[in-house]
Amino acid sequence: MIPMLLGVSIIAFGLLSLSPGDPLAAQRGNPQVPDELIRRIERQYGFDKPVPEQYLRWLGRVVQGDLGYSFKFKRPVADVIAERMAATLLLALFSTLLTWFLAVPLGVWSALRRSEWPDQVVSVLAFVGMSLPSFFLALLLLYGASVLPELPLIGRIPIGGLVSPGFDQLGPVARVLDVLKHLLLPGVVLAIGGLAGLQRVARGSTLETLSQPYILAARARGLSDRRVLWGHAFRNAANPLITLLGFEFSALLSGAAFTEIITSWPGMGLVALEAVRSKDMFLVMATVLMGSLLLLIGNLLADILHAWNDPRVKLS
Amino acid sequence: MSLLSVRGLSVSFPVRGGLWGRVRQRVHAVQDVSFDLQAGETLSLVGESGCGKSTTGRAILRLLEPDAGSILLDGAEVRTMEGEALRSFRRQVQIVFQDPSAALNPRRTAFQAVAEGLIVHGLVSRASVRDRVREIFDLVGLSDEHLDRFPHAFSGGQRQRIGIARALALEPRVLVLDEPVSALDVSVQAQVLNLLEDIQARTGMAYLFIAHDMGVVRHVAHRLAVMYLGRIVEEGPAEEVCASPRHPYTRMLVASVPSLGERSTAGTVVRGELPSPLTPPSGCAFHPRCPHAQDRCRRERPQGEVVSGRFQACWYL
Repeated sequence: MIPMLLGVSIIAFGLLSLSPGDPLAAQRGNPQVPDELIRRIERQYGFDKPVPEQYLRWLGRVVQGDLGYSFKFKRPVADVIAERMAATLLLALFSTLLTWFLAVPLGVWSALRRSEWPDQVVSVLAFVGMSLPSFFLALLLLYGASVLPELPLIGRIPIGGLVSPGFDQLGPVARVLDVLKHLLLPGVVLAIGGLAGLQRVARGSTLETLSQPYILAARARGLSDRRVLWGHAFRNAANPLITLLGFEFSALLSGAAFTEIITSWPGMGLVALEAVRSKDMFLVMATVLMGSLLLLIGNLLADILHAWNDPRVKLS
Repeated sequence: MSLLSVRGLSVSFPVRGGLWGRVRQRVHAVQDVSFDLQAGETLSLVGESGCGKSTTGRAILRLLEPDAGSILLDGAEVRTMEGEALRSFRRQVQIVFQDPSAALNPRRTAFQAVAEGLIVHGLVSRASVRDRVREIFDLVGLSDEHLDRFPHAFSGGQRQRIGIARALALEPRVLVLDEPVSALDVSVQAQVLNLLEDIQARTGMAYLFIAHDMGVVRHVAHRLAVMYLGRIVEEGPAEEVCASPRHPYTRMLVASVPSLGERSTAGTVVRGELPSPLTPPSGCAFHPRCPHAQDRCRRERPQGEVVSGRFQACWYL
């Protein structure tokens, strides 16, 4: 895990150093910032040193828990990341739950009705969902939400941001509801993207498990269909789904960028784009590290779920 | 009245193809198969892979829906059973599969595998399930220490014993054995066959023993039904059929069993490949491989007749 993070950081740091641009460009262009101050900042962060030395200095600071300073946001990187990470985690969690609660039952249903019309309808929809680029779907839904009249109960569906203006004046319950409403649009966009793939895997895995001899054996013993499906087939069919969950969760955290940008969700994707565009060195490095860390955490999560789903493994 | 009686059983499978997965044609896996099984008797279905013997077994258990024919248990039609009658039928007719590794749920312990049937059919009280499973384990030569292990911790022979224990737990009257030893080592095969023989002697259970190995079959079967491309071509008492096979296909099968001190007779060794059941040969399905085939065999299919207690389907006997 540590060697992988080191490798990722070396590659990212090297690429960033090779790319044109200057993290202090904004400050240099500002006549009110004296040259003396800029040189002091350069010395402080080691921008005047060779790249390998810059990297080692950065690494030394990171190991001590100091992620550096963001010149773009004019705040410590750790603060920016913490705030954005929370928003991205919230979105990832919401859309993952939505995806799973829809895709797995649909996949199993499709498998049970193999080659009948429900399976065919769901399959066609799944391929449409898989083929739709998320940015296009996001734009479509944004348009839909903007022309939708005020709905009972929900009101208007917000088309961007994390909270409404005037959030601070709301009570605790109203605050939660406000965030949930804002989650709706980006959450649905991400869920539809993941839904299709997961539904296909759930269908295929269920079909494969249902053709196993131990399923025939269970039926031959006179077990009810429900008992055969949930007692024998499902736990075995869930294995590939759990492996997928580990990847998807981390992919959502880093790969939700398009959706975040279009729906102005203040998450990691948006901040990563802004950081790269202004060559905000330390912020870019922090987002890269976060992405890799989350992939590892996602896989760990999948391993834990595998163990939980498998009675042969005893966690001690 | 026979315990189990099968009449004119036919099973086919759809072949799908093309963009929309439509049914293009049907493979006729089993055609017009009839036989009777008495209590305490072992009837063996033999033939090459793909001849429809396993499909026959599964259709009898209602794991597959047949196209035609009737299956009678104690004279009662099995194909129309529903609800309680079907549950009772499932208890009375059990199956043991070929590959014991695939036939056991990897996430269930040996105890759970055997106990589930007992519980579902309410054969013992919850409190005495474990004791009953112990008894059954003892019967098949497994011990108490095996109860809570998962299938991956067993050898092939032990797994097959669990598969047999699972079927025996329901105290069935008919046991379909679908190639129960062909996935096992030869040394273990004999142990499992002896176990099955003991159980039959003790319980009077009827076995439908599906196999492709004549060497195994001649040791266990009382009667023999030879299948070729979905049809029975010869049927009779096992000893007689093995000693004096009549149908050319049976003769090939019997001659293919290696034996000590004999040279295989030239010309009677099985030759050629089993034709695809998608495009079965005209007339007698065996004619492309038969050394005695004549024009009539290519044109007309022999319906078969019973001659001195044995069924045979060949024009030139």
